[in-house]
Amino acid sequence: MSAPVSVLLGDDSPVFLAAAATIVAATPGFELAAACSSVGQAVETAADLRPDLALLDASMLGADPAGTAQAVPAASPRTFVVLISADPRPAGGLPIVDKRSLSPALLADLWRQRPTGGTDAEEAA
Amino acid sequence: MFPGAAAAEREVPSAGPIGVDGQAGAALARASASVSAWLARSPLGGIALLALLYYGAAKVGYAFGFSGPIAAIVWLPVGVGAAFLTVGGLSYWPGALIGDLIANQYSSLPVWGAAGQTIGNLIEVVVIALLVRRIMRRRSPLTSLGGVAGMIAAICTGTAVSAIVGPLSLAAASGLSIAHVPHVSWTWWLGDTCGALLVLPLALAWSPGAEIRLPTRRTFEAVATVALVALLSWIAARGIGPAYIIFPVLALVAIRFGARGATSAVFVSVAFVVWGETDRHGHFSIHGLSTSVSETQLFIVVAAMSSLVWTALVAERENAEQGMRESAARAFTATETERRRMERDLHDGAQQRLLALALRLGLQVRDAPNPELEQFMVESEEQLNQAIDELRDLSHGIHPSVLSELGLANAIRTLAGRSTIPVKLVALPTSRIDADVQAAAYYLLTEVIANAQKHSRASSIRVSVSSRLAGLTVVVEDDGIGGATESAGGGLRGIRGRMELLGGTFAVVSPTGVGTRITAVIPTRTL
Repeated sequence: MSAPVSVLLGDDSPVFLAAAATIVAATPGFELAAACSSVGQAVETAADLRPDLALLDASMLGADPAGTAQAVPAASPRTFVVLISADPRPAGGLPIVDKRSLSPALLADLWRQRPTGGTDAEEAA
Repeated sequence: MFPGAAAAEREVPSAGPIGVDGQAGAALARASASVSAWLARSPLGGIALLALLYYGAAKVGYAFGFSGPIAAIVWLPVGVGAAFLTVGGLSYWPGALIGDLIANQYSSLPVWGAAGQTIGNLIEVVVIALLVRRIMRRRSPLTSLGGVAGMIAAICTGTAVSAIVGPLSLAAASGLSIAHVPHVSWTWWLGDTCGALLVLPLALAWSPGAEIRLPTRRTFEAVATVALVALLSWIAARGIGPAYIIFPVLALVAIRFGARGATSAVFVSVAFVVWGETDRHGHFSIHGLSTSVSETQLFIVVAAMSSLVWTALVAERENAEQGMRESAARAFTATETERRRMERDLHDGAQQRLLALALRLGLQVRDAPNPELEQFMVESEEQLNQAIDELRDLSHGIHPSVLSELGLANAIRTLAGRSTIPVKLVALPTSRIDADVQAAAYYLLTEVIANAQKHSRASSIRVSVSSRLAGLTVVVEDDGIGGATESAGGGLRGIRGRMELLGGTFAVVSPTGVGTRITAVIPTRTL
């Protein structure tokens, strides 16, 4: 049994952040690493904690969510970034999920379907 | 640099007659601007310049025979002096004094009479300049009816001073029989009024910084109009036709070419008419005053005043239109800002709260202790999801954040992808478009496509959005049952309201059984 998947949450709505934290806590094999309410805080925390998974609110990321989100893997290459949105639409190659469908099952699915390769190789090194 | 220089490059002529008259006008404006700069540095030079111009204007009158030593058909120096003091400042008054003193024909006038006449002339130009400057502090003497009336009153008052003081001092110095004074005064007054009415508005219209609108890109029309003014003036001057045949074309110039065109046209046609007058009756002399002199003077006064009034009326109408366009644009921007704020509030507030609730509820649904409760929770979840959908659509309708994120073309693609009737995108804009115009186009498309889905029973919808000369052009066609109407409170009426706020056009053609075609043109903002 490996260590739990550490999750960083980023959303500028405290109400939603709290609910999402509940979901992570309720997902077996996952643990909440940090809950951040701004992009800057999320990037800084990601650099410190190097979480496995980061769920970032697209609207928090501004006009170019995918571009802004790149700061997280730049700070912590092992982190798999997923955008969440109240109104999901294609976002430059990054996976994006509807906020309302966030559930333990979806978290587990996302983690299972993460691209392997770069991250694992780096972990091995 | 005039702001209009950039306007000359604009593609949209519907922007209205804003700007200056191309390169010649800009060059002239630069020239007069550098003259004013020079004047500001050397006041003595300004006084000398005024004296020279004043003297020159008097000499022109003598040379062409429309001025005599006493009175004139048209006394141009009063216009020159009043214009210089009005535009440049009252402190240049010694220039008018010097100019008048050296212009006096001492050979045919008693010295004291000439001195009295000069004092009258000086008071005249100072009074006019003082009064017109006072008017200009509140409004333009050319582009408002009140301003024009004030300027005409100022001119009549100032010239009355000279027309009373001049003949009386000549009479006192025995240069003029007292019995002739009323008649000479009348001619004097008309002649001075003509001179002031010709030159002062002309100078004000062409002085730098005058808030005058002149159309651009109408060179051909300008040339044709000048030719027409010259031809009709010549016909009037030769006595081939009556002088008043010039009036329609003067009115046309005032309407089409504003204050600069109108004042110039009046000057040109008066020059012809005065030339015709002196050509037929010889050099002007107060002793051979004929009725035709008075008629010529009255013609000039009436022509100049009418032209000024037309110009002011046209300018007032244009200003009112401009004001309405600006206030409509302000109203639109205000509603857009409000919409953005509301969308933001909905998104940050209620929407996040409902989503959070959905997550929490979703966690519990699986763990319900009994089937009834589970059923209840599943239904609650469905209703909650509907509420989230409705809120999302509502906030899209208020202000689609998708626009700022994806741009109009991608937003339209997303919209087309969601439609239940296949949407064929014939054309999409490629260039950047003003946010308000984008929002209006997107709003129109969401409404029209939603309408088509609800009512048209169409099998396909064609959408074309393109940037054209007149603005962003949106065409939506479906092959449904047609019969769409704009009813009060309906979606189409709402779109029309929004289009009209932006100064755009909106047309619905929907014959029964043929389909519906909606065309809208949203002007790109030029305010």
